[in-house]
Amino acid sequence: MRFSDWQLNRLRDALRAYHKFGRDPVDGRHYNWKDVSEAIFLSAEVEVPPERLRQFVEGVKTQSGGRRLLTMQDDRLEAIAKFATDEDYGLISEGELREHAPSWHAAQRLLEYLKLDFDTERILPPSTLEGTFRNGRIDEDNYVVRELTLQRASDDGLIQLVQIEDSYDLLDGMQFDDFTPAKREEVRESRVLYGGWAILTPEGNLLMFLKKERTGNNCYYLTIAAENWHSLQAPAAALALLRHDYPIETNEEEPLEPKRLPGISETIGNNIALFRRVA
Amino acid sequence: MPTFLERQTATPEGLALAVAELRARIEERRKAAWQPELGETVHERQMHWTLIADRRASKIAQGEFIEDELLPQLRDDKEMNRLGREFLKAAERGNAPAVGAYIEEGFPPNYQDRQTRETALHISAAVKARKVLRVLLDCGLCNFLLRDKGGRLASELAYLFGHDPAAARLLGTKERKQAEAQGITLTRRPKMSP
Repeated sequence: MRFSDWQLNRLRDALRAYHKFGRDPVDGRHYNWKDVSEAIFLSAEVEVPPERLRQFVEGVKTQSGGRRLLTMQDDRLEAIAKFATDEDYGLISEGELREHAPSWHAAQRLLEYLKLDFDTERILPPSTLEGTFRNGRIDEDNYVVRELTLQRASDDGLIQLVQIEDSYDLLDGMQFDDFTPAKREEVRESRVLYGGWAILTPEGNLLMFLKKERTGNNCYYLTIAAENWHSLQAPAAALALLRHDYPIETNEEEPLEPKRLPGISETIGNNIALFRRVA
Repeated sequence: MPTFLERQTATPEGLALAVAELRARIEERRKAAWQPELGETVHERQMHWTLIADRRASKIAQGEFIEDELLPQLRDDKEMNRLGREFLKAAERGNAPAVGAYIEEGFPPNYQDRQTRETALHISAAVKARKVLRVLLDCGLCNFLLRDKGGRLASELAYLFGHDPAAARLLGTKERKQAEAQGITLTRRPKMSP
């Protein structure tokens, strides 16, 4: 079995937890990497040197001061996976080690449903939307930069999505465009990742469905304005999108009435963002 | 309303009042043009949080502040949930001054999201918000053994999503120490009862 980076990280974390939390049942001392190595041997009969295990989990220092995680030979990785999924140890389930591939079936079905039988020719080639688009805005006390990457667009309008959401304090955010990538990373306060897919409808609307990597919470985007898309052959320069997650929560206890609509419109307006192409 | 001898948070009405007062204090802090620095050195920050912890303990004893044990009672409280969402969002944005201000004003730092069961500690670890993590560690009020809906401890999120082995190591040590102090055998996932 070949392991992806995502799966390797799951295995690393399982070993980290076993090493950190495990205790010798006889003398009560905490496990060291030799103990982890012995446990793997008992489970899978493959020897993995303790120091290699430590480097696999904790990485090695690089010249620039960072850390680089090492991988291992296939037979050792198989042994680690066997140990980590061993029910006696309860470190990680088989299911957790399986890739969370987005369900393309749902996207395909949606495209099929929206397809217009009387007008099957696409005017806007989906590939013109491929690329990375960025939007930066003040969100309460922070400057939030969202980078949306549209990739692997198929001819029938199915597109893979990745969104990186970075936060900066307001002062750094104001200088964001002047900062180098290294400086941005240095001053960044937090990073949240999303993944998912989009479809391009026959009308030229992008419907995007994103999931937060950590929790699976949903986030949606919808095209609300387009720049001559019907005559567009070159890559799209910008995307005007409406972002949505939870329904807007009204503060008052009164029922929804027409007089409340202006307030709701204003909130929706704040959720409209212009993403400009950066790559 | 509670009588003079009762703790304010002992009755549902008093608890609702405590939430309203908490909201008012936080709103006051939000209106301020700047948030005071929590101290530059480790010693200054320790002093600051020791004072805050003492004040918090006394306010909890008087029933003015909300202690962790009361959070299940507030699970359906709209105002508390709104405050909680804002607190966790500040953690996700890496906004350390805001997170610090919430805790100083008596917001329970171990508040868990209704859906995901994440705490500010989980979130700050997962998004590599190290300044928020420092505030949460410095304040000395965090429960390191709380798990999210997936049964995950904060150290796991630091490793898997924050890609921060150093923070994962630190949090793992804190988790282990707390478990030892409470006589709990710690495992990566919660142990299922047979």
